[in-house]
Amino acid sequence: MRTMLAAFIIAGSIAAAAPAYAHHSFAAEFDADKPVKLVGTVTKIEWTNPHAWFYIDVMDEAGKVANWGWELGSPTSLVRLGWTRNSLKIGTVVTVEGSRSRDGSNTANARNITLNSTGQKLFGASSQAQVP
Amino acid sequence: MRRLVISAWVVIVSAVALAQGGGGILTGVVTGPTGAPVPNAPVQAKNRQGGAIVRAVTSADGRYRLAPLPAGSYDISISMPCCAFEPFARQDIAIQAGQTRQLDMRLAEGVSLNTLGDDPGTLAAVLRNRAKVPRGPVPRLAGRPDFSGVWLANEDRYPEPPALLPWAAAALQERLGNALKDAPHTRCLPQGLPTPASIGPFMAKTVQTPSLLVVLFEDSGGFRQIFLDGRPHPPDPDPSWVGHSIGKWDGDTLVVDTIGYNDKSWIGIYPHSEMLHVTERIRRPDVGHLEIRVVFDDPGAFSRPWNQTLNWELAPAEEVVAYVCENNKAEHLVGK
Repeated sequence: MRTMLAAFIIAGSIAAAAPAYAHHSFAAEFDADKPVKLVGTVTKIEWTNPHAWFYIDVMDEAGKVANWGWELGSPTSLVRLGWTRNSLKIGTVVTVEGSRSRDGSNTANARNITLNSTGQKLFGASSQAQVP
Repeated sequence: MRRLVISAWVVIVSAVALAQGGGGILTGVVTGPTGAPVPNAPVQAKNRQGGAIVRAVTSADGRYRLAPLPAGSYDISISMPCCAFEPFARQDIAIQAGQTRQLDMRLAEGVSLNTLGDDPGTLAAVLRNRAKVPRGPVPRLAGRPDFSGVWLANEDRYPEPPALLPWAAAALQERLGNALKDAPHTRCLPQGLPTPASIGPFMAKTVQTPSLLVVLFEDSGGFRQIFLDGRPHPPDPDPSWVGHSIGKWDGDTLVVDTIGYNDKSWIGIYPHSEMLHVTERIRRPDVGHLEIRVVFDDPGAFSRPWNQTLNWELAPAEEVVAYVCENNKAEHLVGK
């Protein structure tokens, strides 16, 4: 019984430090300790649930091009925040910041998107960013 | 009712404080990982001796003030809507009578990693700014309150963890150790009970008739039926993601009883068994609000029933949208 009580207390202390609800954990996918900032041209947008993705072609100093995928929140939420599927057009040059994937692929979560032509930040939907 | 209970606590706490010759004050600023102030953060102080609770919400500049606090030791906690910030907990903060103590709290970044479009707190602020939550009398239908509407489904602002049986505690540890990579929602399966995805940034729509309450939600499956026509539960319902729900009126409160769950869904991050029995007491205190007091009773997973209070807000300018889950690139989910 004492063991059981100890288990409850441990579980309680862990739970108190965990979110009560988790719809999706970006932390399972991306590493907050691996920040990445890239400039590239938008090649594709996937307006899919549960999360939207967009892709950019990034050229390195040697002129080699790599395609990077960036994950966003759900289209449901993005629409309510003022996005449309045309908010990010193919061919647009953007600067994107986020955290790199844990699996080493060319993917990251998108924390900030800036349109290079105007310097405008696109629809910040997070707490620290501007909201339309 | 909740407000009354909270007020009652404050009154009791105040009375004790006065009897002891004045209480102390705990005040400070709540900031996020960048140092920016966090508004609307629900701050709670729980007395370690008597369990009395005092609560405050941070202002636009992130400030809070908990007063009066009778002399004693307190556990301080903050739980923000999932998942832009990690929850905060600090135990054993001593308060003396007549003392003003400063406690600034910095919230760490949550598992959403500040991804664009994934912060329920920002979404809630945008919706409230677009259309004010209305006040006024509750519409009625066939002599009962009508719960119909499109709702911003807020989480319990002051959640208490359930008392988990050892297997459930072990399952929770495994989930946390894997950064929640196996959450059903990440594989396009329904998540969250009693209504899947009824948490920000998703919304729910209730449609009521005299014999049926339907809840439309933005997750796989998409709907819950709550039968109001007096039928009983089936004797041995097949397990499902949303269970079998029947509702009976207790005055202006609808009491919804649900059994027949599978054991695949998560209650937030917590596991449960097929023995789960959920009771929801739903009322609409005014046109703009739905209060749902939930009791999760599961002798297969919890050592005692677990309570949550959800306060949903009417979102008159919004609509639920179709939700077909098609691709989450689950191959990228590697945990830790």
